[in-house]
Amino acid sequence: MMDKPSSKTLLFAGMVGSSLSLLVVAAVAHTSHLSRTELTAEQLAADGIVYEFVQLAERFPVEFNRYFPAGATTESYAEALRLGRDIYVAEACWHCHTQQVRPIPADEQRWGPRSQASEYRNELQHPIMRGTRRVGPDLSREGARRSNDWHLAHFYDATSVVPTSVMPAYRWFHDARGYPNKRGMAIITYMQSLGSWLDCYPNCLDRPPSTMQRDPSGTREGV
Amino acid sequence: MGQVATSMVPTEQGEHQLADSLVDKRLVLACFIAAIAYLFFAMLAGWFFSFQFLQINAFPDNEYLSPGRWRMVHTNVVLYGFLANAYLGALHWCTPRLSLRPVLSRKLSWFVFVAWQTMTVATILALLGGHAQAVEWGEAPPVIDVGNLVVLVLVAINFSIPILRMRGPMYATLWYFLIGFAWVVPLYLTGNLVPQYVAGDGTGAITKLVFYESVQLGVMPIACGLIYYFVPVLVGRPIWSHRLAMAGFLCLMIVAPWGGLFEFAHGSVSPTLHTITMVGMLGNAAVAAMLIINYVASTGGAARSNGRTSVARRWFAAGMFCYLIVCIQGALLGSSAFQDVVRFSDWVVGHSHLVMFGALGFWMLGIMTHLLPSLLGARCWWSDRLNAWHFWLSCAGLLIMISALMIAGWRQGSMWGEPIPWASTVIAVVSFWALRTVAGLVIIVAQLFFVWNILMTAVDQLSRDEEPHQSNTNHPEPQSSYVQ
Repeated sequence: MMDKPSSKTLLFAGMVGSSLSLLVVAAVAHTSHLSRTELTAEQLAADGIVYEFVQLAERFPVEFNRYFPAGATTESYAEALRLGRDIYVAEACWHCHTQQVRPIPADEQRWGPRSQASEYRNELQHPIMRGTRRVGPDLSREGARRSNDWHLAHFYDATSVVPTSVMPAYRWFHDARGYPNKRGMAIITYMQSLGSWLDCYPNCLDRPPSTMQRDPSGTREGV
Repeated sequence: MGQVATSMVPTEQGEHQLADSLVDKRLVLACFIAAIAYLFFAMLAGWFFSFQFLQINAFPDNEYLSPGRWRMVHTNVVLYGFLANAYLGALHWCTPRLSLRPVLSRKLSWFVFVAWQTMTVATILALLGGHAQAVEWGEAPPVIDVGNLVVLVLVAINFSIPILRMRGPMYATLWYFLIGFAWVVPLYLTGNLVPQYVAGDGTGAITKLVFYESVQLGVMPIACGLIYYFVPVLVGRPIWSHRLAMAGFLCLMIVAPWGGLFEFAHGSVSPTLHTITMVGMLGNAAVAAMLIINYVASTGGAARSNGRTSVARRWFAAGMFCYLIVCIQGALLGSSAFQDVVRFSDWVVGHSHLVMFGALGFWMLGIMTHLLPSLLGARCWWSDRLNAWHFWLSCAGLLIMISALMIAGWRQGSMWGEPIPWASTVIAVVSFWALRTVAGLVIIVAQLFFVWNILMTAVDQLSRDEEPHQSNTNHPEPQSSYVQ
């Protein structure tokens, strides 16, 4: 028979037990995955602007200057990255694409080196974009794999470039002429930035060397 | 403890005596109606989304009808619209009966109900409007998370204080409810708000951890508590072992949470910690085993002694079977070798459907099937046959859906390791996605039968109320086996 004092003891023991287990589990998570510092979008941009962002400015100069009046600067690049990431979340891209190369041969063969904790140490991973499912491929090394034009067509109608694709159309990333609007430029920039922190990975196109060079002070220059 | 089991088990007679004074039946009915409406809406959203997998999108130019956004609506409405409302209704039904006290404030209960519907509708509008947060099952923007958090605090206060004021022994159900109320608020806070502002690059770890713990310490305790209440009511005899139920409660609190580490099985977790993970997963399995053993022992032979099994009991039995499968799958997911194949594949999507609809959803539908006639003021359902169709079509649809998704997922995971184009791995599973869409239609039709039965039961009761002088003589005896 359970009387009242033993009930209190039971509840206390249970709360202590569950609290202790959660604390230890959280501590393990902390020591295994957390870092002390993380980069802002501006700091990421200061590390170098991807070539494809500049290419957008060259290919669509009128539209680009309307959306990013400062031109292809680090500030504009940071703004595009932040907006692109928000669109990536809002359109549920992360529900069908992962950003995590697992430490197994199948993943590394297809996408290159396994994901490191340092890759998630930035503002754009708030919360983390690791994803939950792969209807489409992993995107953590998507940058410079395909051209801006390919992405532009792919967002308008994915089957126009991949006939068997089941990706939805995102025509609100385009203006009436089919050019990318601000959202389109931002999401393409975000796509092209993924993996740009690595030297190489499978199927990575060569980028012009001028875009990601480091200056003597140790930070990468923009264009 | 044996005395606790026999003295505290709710009985039909006791229910009738206490119902009017302790339970706000209109509120329970409102919660269940909201839950069913949201369930139907969520299923339509999921079904609409599924057509994209067959390259069918009737609205490619309309961003508010983008399949990706409706995918988030599907899962969020299932959790916050259907499950939460069903929980709220069931809690309002059985907590006052077990604590012998009403909730702290009925006005607060109605405020919570209205506030929760407001937050759920706001979530739908925000997601369709292109405002989301990258937390699975918690995609609502942080401002809505804050609102949900406030409402959850009010729910915990409204139910917990009367329970804590109780004198004398407590039935197992209330123990489970207390742990659920105690943990749901901090877990929601940690899982939804902390990753957005504090945790930085560790958000993946925190989010996944909290997701697991939310299920273990938030969702499951409430479900276990409800099972330990409704199964004795449905079977008409006490739970087989109250001591076993309490052992499950302790195991759920002390051992099972350690299993949260399995989310880091692919990370830098040391072998020692990996072993602890396995202990936690075993604890989780033990809780499930104790619940299932208690259920089987409590219901065994009852069908023979009580005549034909009611549909409500069938829902519980099918839900328990799904839960057993879910637990076995959970144990498999603790294995790295298994995760290598199924992680990120449709197998996990099938697993999620088995948890949310097969186990939790079936139990909630069982509770509603049991209570709704009484809440509508009727003696029985308008049609037992429609109830049976609702049950069997739901089971058939779910079976087809999870089979298709799990086979597709295993195929995907296996093909990802082969040196073939990604598109080949998509083409290989399209036929399974088509089967999934068909299964979704079957499940939706099943819910239509349920909705129709509810409407006709209410209409039938209204017509009887309008003819009180004839009701005792002209109406035939109910054909239903259900008598509240």
